[in-house]
Amino acid sequence: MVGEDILYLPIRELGSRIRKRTLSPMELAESYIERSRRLGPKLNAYATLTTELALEQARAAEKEIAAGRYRGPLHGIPYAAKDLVAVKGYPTTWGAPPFAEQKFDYNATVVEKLNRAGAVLLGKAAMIELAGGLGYSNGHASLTGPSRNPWNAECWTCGSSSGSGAIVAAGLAPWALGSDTRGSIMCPTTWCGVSGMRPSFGRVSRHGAMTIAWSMDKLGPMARSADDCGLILSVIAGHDPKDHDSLPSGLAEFSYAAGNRKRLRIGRLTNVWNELDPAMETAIDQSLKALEKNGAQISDTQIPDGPFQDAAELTILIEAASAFQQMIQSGSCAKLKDPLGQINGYVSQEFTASDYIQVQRVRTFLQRAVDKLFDRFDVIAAAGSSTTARRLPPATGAATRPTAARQAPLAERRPDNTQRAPDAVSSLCGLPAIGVPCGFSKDNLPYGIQFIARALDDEAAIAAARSLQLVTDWHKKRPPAL
Amino acid sequence: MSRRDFGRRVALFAAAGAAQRNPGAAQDGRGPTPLDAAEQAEVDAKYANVIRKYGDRLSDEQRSRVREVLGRHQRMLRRVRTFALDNSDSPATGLRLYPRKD
Repeated sequence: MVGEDILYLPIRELGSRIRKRTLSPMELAESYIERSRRLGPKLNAYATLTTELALEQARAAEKEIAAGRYRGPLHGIPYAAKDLVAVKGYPTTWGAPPFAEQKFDYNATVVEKLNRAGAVLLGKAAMIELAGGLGYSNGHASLTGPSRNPWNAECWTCGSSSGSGAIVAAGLAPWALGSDTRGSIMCPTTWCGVSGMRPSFGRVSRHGAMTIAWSMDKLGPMARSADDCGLILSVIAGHDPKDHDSLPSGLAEFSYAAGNRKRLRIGRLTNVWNELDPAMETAIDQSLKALEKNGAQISDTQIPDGPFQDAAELTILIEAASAFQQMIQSGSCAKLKDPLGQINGYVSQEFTASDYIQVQRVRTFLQRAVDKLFDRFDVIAAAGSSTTARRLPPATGAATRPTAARQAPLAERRPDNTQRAPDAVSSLCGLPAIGVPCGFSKDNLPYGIQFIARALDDEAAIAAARSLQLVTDWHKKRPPAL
Repeated sequence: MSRRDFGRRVALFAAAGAAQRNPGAAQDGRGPTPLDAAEQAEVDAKYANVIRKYGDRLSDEQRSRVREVLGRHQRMLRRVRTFALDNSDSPATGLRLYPRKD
């Protein structure tokens, strides 16, 4: 078994050692499996461990590398996949009781790509039921129970990629695949103190992944560093004819060179959160100052006025009512854990086609308005979440306000920024975003900063986050002993 | 869209935003804006339809939650429906063509 220091190494370093044959893929996989078995249940991190598959893949990687056939940066590297991507022969529960026994006889495209890259699948990461597709009230809305935050097990990891966040933060895998419709990578990334990326819409195929909203769903990596996110994205991006919204060849692929962009122009968003902890504001300021010292140009900017949050939420509600129509009509949504999820599908069926088209017309306009910002900036930056990780409420089964766990209390003042929450803006517009840790609260909970870039300029977002990680070491901090 | 047209639309955009903020206090955290009579009638009709289709599956508590969620949805729809758009503003949906591969 290898020690914890190795298990917390970034992929680039693990890969380098594997390539040089100073680290055995078998030993690495066995060590993560042992740690996952020991700590995973305490955190409700996994839905399923795929131990047999992991050992088979690790053995194959070891053999191939020994024979001089090194496939690339993820060869022999373990990972976990959110339990909404199909892995042939293993349960794919979508985190929801109605699908507890579900299995597919094929692999999702992203899993196939990772198989071809020689990656080693340790297990399926726990998640919020249906990734929150029919709404949910808190972290208890999961088939496998609430994922607990490695920084404080009384706190939630955020969702819906809740297990993916716990797995990476707890050192149970060097990276995990998450999915993001509106914040489901960014929020757990921030609360768990890891580095996570929502790629440009259409860059990573979703074939074989559960759908919430076709026009908003994305798959992306959660890892130790921005650099690792770049490496992973270069492997999982690419055109897939099986995904209707996949970008065409020539646009979908992502080539990652880990170079520095000279004089990044960064716009600090000043109108996107209602209330931020002053210490978190300070952490964001300090991060931007560190980037400025490193040559970046920083200035304040604002998201234009518009119903971003409403348009994002309506799009999700209406598309989800169609995606889950069979479950809604059959009544099996009654088996969902969350009281809101049990009824939300019925309500969402009442939206009209005319409303959906209106929302999509507003969306186009908002998309253009936001795109203008990137004439002046390479990236725009804001806190990854308005709060640090929140405590899990008692498991009462009572419905609270939808997604309340992620919303800051509204301030008794104008202007109201609810409509311009960064996740709503970037998800609605299909923009790439990356979140990285940027400090800690007095309770030792992570703060995060996010960088959002123009559509298809994923490289700019990674470059900004990577520049920050070159001059800070927040991403190297580990949770206290678990 | 030309720069000039864009500028005009952004001005409309800001005006629409201001108009949306004025009628009620929902945007500043002091509680949800009341629905007007037409909006309430729409909510009532939708509620009746949900009960017609699925009433036998819903408890009293769930029925009350349905009504509450319908009200919340109506407020979101208000902001989107009143957003200023031109006739030619097209939706973010589209048919993708599959060219013949010879």
